[in-house]
Amino acid sequence: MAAQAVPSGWPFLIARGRRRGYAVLLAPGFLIADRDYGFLEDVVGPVRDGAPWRTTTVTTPRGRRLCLVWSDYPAQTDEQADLRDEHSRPLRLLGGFLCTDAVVTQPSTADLDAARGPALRTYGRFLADEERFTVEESTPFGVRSVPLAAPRREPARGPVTRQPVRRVDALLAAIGLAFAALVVVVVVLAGSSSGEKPAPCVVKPQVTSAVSVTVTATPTTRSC
Amino acid sequence: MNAVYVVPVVVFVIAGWLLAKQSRRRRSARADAESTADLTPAAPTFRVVALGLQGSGKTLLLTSMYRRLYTPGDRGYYIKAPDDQLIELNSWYQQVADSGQDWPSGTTRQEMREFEFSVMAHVDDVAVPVVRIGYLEYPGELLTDRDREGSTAQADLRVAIRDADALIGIIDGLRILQTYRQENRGAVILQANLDAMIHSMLDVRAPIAFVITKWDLLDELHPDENTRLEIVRNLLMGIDGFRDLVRHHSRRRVLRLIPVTAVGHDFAVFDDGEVRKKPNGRFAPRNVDVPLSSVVPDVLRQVELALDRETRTAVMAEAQRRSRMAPAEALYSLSRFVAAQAGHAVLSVVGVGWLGDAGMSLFVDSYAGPSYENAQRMAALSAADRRAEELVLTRRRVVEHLQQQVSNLEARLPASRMGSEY
Repeated sequence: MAAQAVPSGWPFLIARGRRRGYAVLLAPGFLIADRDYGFLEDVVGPVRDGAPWRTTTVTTPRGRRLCLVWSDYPAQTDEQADLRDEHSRPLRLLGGFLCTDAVVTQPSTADLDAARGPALRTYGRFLADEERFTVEESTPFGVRSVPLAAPRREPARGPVTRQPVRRVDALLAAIGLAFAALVVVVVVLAGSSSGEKPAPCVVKPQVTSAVSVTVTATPTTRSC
Repeated sequence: MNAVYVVPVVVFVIAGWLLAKQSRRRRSARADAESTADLTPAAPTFRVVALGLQGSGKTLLLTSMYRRLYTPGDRGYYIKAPDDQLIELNSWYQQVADSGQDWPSGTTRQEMREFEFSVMAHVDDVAVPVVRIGYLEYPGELLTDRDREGSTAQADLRVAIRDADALIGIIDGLRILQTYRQENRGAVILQANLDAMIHSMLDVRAPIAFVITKWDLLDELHPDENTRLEIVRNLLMGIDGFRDLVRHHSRRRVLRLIPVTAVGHDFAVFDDGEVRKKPNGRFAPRNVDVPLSSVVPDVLRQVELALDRETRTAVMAEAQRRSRMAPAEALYSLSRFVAAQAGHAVLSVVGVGWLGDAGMSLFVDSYAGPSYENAQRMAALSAADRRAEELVLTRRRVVEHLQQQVSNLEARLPASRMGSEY
């Protein structure tokens, strides 16, 4: 049996400096060579609600289908733990890895750690000379996260929509049901007391409640 | 025997009568609501973009402004945000206001979006939106750092600035303080701040306001607040590009310099190059509602200033006509006004944006004089017409109150108004 190829992951990093704003600092060489890495700044954002990571699948402006996995952590160097910008805001790094030949649903800690090392080293060089720093190329590593098939084009998902639930007035429903019950009683009584052929069926009033709910769930961390 | 069947028949008749009555009442209420909606155009939307570099305080201003206005207080109106944006605003507020938590991290490009605020007021005990305001949130570096290949954020920002109904220029109070202290870094960044603003504001038609953030850091300039503002104004007007921008725009519009502190004068301290929260600081934002309050009145006033005398007279006549009409008739009158020469003149001044039916109605009604209810006239209207009329009156009262906030600031701080004396 042929061994399954291990998918590759490329580290990437988006971060601010003490003076410079958010920018891509580390990206795969093939994206840099093709000038196809700017989308990372528009797509990669903070990880909220205490989640350990986020994933998403994107199509780059040049048509590449990629799976991104990243986390959000405080910036630190070997010399300093609490790094801040010149406005006294804490510095945080948005770093992770991306795959071209796998969709990752369950990132492994080992892979996130493997991506963090190069990111921190790049960040240290960035802080040393922010004005002259240019984006660096990352080296791929073998991904151990649980992969699915290669990324494929997904149909566009619209926003979550819910159809409003139409409520029937409770009073109307109660009156209608009571009326229907009375008619049944009348028919039964009439039939049993007269001993004649039963009266023709009475059309019962219809009490309808239209309930239409359409929910499309969109998880905060979309699996690739 | 027949008595056995009389009771169900009586019940049937009563039930049928109740059903019919309930159904008629619901149809009537629905018709009233629909006819009110037909008579009164939807709330106009004003799009606002705050121009400020990274770290200048755009996000804190947004957060504090929302918290200041999210309940009616003594205003009679409040602002409302969609649920997902509300969660984020509250989260930022908790982080800012808590002296035990760190400052929020800066806004990323991925977080760039427009916050949608509805200015709500009560009409017949029902909260309705009278005006909507869109406030764009984005990372400040988009004003100075070019887009990386494949990113569209900067291009999106430029479009938003071009199409904005009002612009707010954010001037970082920390940079002003550093410039005042003759610290080179501060002066360089302040110049970059103003350059970005000048570039974006020079050829816009929208009203402009300048906001000085972190006003609490400038307390040391002078004990009197108005004198402090004069000092800052003179410092800014000593910078060539900014002086030219003010002179260029003050010829045909109102310019304001609004000092705000998103945290208050006793919450943070600037020490050893860092802005730190005081351990037991008092969180008390000040003037944070004024920039947004000025948007609608300034837009209306700018439209008015740009009209010739003949058109202004025609608008006033239309306003007085409408104030005597029932809502349906007033709406028809407005549509005829829009089609006429005066209406075209107003549209040509404003261009695209907020001036749909709702905006035109808001503008014309602003000429109608003091808001008051003519009890006799109201009593003669149908329920639907009365509600539509109440909505129009409520909207005018809200706009008047917004203007009052700005007037109060000008009364307290005359130095906030920058006219053509420069």
